[in-house]
Amino acid sequence: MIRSLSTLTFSALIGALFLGALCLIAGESPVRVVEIVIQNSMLNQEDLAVTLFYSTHLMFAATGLCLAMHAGLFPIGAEGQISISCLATTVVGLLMGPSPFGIFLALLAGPLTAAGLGAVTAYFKVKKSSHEVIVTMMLNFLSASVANYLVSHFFQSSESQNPETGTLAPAFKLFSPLFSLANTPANSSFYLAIAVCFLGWFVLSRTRWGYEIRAVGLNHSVAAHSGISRARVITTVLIVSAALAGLSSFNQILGYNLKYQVGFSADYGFLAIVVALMASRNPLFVIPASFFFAILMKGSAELDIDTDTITRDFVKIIEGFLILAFVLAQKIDLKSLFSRKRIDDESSRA
Amino acid sequence: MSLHGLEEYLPSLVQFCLSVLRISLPLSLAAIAGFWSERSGTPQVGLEGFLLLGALAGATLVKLTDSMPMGFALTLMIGAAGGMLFYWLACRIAINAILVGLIFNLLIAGIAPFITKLIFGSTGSTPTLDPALRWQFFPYLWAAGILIVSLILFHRTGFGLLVKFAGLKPEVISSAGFSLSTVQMCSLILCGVISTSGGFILSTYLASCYSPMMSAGRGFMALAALIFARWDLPRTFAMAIAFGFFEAAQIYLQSVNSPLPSQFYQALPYLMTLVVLGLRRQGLSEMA
Repeated sequence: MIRSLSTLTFSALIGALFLGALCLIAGESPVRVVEIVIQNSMLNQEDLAVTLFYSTHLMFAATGLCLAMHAGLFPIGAEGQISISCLATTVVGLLMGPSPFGIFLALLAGPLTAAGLGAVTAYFKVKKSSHEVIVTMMLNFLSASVANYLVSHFFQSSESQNPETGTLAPAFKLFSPLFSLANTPANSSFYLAIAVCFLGWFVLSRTRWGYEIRAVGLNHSVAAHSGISRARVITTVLIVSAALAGLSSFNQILGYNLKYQVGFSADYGFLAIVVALMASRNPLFVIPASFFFAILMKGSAELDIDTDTITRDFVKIIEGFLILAFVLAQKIDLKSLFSRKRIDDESSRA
Repeated sequence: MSLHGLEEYLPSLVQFCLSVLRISLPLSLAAIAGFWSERSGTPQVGLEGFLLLGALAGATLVKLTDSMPMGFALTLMIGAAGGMLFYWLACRIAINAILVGLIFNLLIAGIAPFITKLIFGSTGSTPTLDPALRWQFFPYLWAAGILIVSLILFHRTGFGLLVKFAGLKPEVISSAGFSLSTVQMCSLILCGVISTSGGFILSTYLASCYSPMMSAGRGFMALAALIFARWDLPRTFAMAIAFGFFEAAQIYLQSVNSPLPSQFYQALPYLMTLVVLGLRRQGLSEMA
């Protein structure tokens, strides 16, 4: 714990130095950039609502990723799982109508379809020993195409010019808004996300399954000797982590939009990887890390307008540098930098 | 079909074949680049970033130097530097190579608008290049040359043998008195140079400026081609051409009214890759 906190501080410092230098190169004051980001993400209710909404998405997906990463896996499929689960929720809702049964099915549809994608990943990983990164990457592209196809050919809203489905009945709004202002996206699934983080921590550190996950991740041959089936652990953890990413449909569809818009996701699934890494795979740290990245996402959107040279893509640079700094801080010890000896990769810890 | 009908179709057929070749240039170069990296034992998911890097550097440098060969040479050097950086992070510091690839993609996508804004004052794209500068047929020669050189280098030289061993049994290399690091470094520099040249062709030959995210998943498609062809160079190249064919067909069919939706052609490379991964027996190769 102490060690991971100190690497976190160290890497945040390196990252901040890098980024400050970059701002100076661009001729902007770093202090002003920070000011703009904070001003536009937290200081009034409307902005704060968007920030909380983003962080809800990140918490769901990142908690799932923490579980998978503890098992030594590095799935990057959350992006596809999020969009497919949101689409499934909307489609089930549209087809079943606002009966109690329909609402119940819509609630289940998101996590279940995402879990299905997780099961596909697990099949390839366990039965075909394919690398989960490749499989989930392909599944991400496939999900995007399938979602585009379904929306444009079957569910396109006749009232809208944008590629999106029709709107669900108001009865589907199961998660009430957090703020009384009209149309703010933050909703009560935020609390669910925080609960999921705590639950994730509890499962990982206090249950038998969590122990098995960590055992497989640390040393799977030892785990096998103590009677833990690697295949079973990998399968279950991939399915559960996908289902958690699928909970995003609560936030996006049942809590806010009530319709599926093509391309609604602002790379939540990929950002969640960064969040999980920064949280050093601890679901409890996911809560502040998600909030931090949500602030970056929301705040940097205004950088285009308020500065001359820094664009909203700056957040991508920030993410990139932060992961890099973080992984470097974990890996580098200065002696090895100058020696000719290769360091053995500690399996897939990074 | 009568001969007369064929004559009528011939010019458009030739045109179509040419456009297939044209479209598959960046893709096939990226696939060859990925081949060098993966055969030397470094999983390569950063091809998308390398392509973007080449596209950005190419459009920017050609604009600044006003000369195609000059811009090309500088871009290749940047590509080599990118390959070196990748080697340093993935092999020297031993960060998980897949993570390095993802960081690469993220950083380059983020830095690109920053650079265009700094140099040209525009968010995202670079200014259009002078059409007089555009190459006529050099890109085809370059791609063919890279393919032939890669084939010879890999199958007929000691270096190729070392790369093969670096991927399959790295411990053999040091037992035989060679340096694994050097082999990996050379392969990754090759990977960087070849893939950025693909990006260069993308922004200066297929288009006439850099626009955001113009690689449009080609790096991942190249990876898909590589896996589909089971890391065999001629087959990989053929797959890249085939994916180029689907892309060209998709553009062509959109104007005609095709029975299959355009999304099908977009998804095809990824679907095929999954099918291949699903068909193979367990534990054939740990590479993907």
